[in-house]
Amino acid sequence: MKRIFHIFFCLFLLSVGYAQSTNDKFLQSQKAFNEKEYQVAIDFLKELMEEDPYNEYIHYNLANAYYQLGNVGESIYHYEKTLKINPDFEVAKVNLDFAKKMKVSDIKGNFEISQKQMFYQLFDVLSIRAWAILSIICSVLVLVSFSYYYFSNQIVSKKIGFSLAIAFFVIGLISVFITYHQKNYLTTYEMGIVIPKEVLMKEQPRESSKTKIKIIEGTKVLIQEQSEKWYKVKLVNDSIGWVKQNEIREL
Amino acid sequence: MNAKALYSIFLFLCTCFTWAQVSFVTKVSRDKIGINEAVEVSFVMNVDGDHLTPPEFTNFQVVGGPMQSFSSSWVNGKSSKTISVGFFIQPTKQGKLTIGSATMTYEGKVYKTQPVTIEVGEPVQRTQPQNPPHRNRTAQSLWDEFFGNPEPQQTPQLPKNFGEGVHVVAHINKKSAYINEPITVEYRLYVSHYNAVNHIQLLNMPKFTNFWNHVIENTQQQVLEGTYKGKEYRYIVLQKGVLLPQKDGDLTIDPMELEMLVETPTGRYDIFGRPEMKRELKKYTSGTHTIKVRPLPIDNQPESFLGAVGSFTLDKQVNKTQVKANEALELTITVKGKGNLQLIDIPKPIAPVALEVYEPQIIDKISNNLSVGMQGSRTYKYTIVPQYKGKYTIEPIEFSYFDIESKTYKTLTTEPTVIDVTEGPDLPTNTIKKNESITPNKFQINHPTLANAKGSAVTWLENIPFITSVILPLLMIPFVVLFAKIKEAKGANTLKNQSRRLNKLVKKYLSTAKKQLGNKEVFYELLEKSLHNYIRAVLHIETKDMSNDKIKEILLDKGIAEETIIDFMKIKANCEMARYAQFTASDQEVDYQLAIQVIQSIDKQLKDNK
Repeated sequence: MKRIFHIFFCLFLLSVGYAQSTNDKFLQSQKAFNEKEYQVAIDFLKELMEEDPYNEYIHYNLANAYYQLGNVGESIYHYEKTLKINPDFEVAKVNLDFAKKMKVSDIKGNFEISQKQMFYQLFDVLSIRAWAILSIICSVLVLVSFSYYYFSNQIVSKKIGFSLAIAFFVIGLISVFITYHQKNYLTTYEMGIVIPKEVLMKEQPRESSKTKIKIIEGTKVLIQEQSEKWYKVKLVNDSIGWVKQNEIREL
Repeated sequence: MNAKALYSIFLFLCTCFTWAQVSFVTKVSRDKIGINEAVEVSFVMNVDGDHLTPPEFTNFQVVGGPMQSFSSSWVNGKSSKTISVGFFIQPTKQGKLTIGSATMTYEGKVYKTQPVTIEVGEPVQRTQPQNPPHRNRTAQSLWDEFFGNPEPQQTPQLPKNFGEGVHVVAHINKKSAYINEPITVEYRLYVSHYNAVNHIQLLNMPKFTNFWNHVIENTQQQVLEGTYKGKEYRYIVLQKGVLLPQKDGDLTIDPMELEMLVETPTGRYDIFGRPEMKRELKKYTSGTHTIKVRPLPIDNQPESFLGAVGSFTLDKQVNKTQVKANEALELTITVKGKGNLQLIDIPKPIAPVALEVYEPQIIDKISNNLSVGMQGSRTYKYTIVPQYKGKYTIEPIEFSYFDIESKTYKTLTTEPTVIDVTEGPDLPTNTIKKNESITPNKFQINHPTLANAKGSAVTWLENIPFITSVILPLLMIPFVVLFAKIKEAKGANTLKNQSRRLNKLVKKYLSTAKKQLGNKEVFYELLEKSLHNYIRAVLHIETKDMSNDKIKEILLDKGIAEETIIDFMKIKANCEMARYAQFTASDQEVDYQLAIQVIQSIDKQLKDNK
């Protein structure tokens, strides 16, 4: 029991420490934003992002700053990232619409929701952290209920202890899987956003290949395949072509 | 009946039929002409046929016509009529030339004329007396013949500049225009009162390149009075039309060229005081005109501008605003005014998806008024079929045009149309719409804090020994089990070992006692020790608690038979007696045997009871 307590204590310390080191920078970025020093705010937020690349609030504020600077591609990228992490973040949806209006032209339509994304949204009732903690708690409870089963002399309590142990084991196992699924969804990519002002979509993964169409900054693409230096991407209107990897930022 | 009779009947019938039948023939005024002469060709029919197509006059040039004539008469209660279409044609080469057959349709049948051959010979010398003005010739020649007066009588001289002649003029109402601004063109032939023209032949019809043109056909050629350059003229309108320039820059309007036979007064007069006329074939041209076309300004061009130029009004009407689903309603948008009506387009009304808007029907009521260009209205009739119940708004329709007078763009907007669909299935996306309307239509401010960020859990997860934390409690399960087992095993061992050690002692004392048989004191001491240890091993009691009563009690508790207990007590007493009392009358051999017997019996009974 002592050991488990130690682990939890460590976790607690970790989160507290993290919160304190980042808070200063965050406040500074807010201040810069309010003083309309958007580039300064961006620099601060980018530093924060390196420490915590999947914090939706950092992405959201970063997107707002880029929006103020008129950088459509970056702005849309960070809004989309925010919404990937937290699909229920309504405020980001509103601002994303604003950012999309800045685009020169827009291909209407949406991508189909992928299986991964669907599961992510389904499991999003609990955050990743909650799922992780649930897994650990379940694991501990398995130990407790098993011990109860083992040391108990009466048959009824033995039965209860054993069933509880099995139940906690199953719940714990599922939570572990969900935790990893959620984390995996956030750390891998299926989509990308065009960052440069204008990108040429080629028919073949070669510089000399024929240009299919021009796509503009902020366009969302589905990454289907990857070859050296190139991505095979699909647009909302189902046209498929090759784009250089450095022109697309993975979402 | 013989063949001859049949034949005559057939002939008779034929003639009967022919009378009632259609006659369609080609008539020529002469069949032998000179190459410089014209011949009149007319196609004559006795019915009211349609689609009369003259033949292609190959090797001929049409110099006049078509001239239509119609006559009908009643003879003996029978009506007959003659319709003819005539042309003046002039051969272009000598020899035997054929005029092909003309066609026409009457009551669904096609009729053809027979080809006609004309012999064209050497040019005929046209002598003055042969072709002078008719009335002059007769009058003058008669006077000459009878009175021999070669000099015509001088009548008061008219001004020399009077009746300068004939003019072909293109009247264009504007010298410069914007793209799509209507320009009117009118070609007129002016003839002074003292001139006459015959055989007007069109050499060059203007082709209005780079213009959208609408030529007004004028079927009636009316001679009108008018002034040109301050003088009185008779004139006819040859052609008029509305032109819309389609390109900016200097655009040219081609000239119209005419060739005609002009009669001009020679200045001499006949005896009746009438001027003598001279005939001449002369070419006239209206001259090339250039129009400067300015492009429409690009600045401030509204998004809804689709090329309309002029001045317009916009009107919108809906035949009903309350309908059931799948019931069609009509939305009519009308643009009225003057300008390039035939080239305008109205943006399609923007309606919610629940309203199905079909392609419009376009109704034009456009008159080409020469003074303003095109005038009238263009109507777009949209059929709209609502699919779902609810209230829908068709967005206001915007129509922009370039106003020539103020040289600015003007935008007209209609009222939005609200359509109430009272019955029908519910719109499946209604709920989503509601949510959308709740979201504020304003750019949202920054998030104030980093706390409770969902995504930061990823970093957190990477920093904690997550999987270890999960597995560790599970790994502890076998340890718990193992720990419990060992502890239990240890507890059981101490008890067993003790009794084993004690039993060993019992055996040791007993065997030593056996050796000391005869040595009374030592023997009983050993015997007692062995009994003592035996009790300790069996009953697990300490030496200090050992009293005869307690031993008896415990032995009874363990279910040992009373006789055995008595035996045991007797042996014990004997041992004590032998040790402490100087008493000799004791059988060491019997006591030894008894002790073994008692121990064995207790062991047996303990085992049985277990």
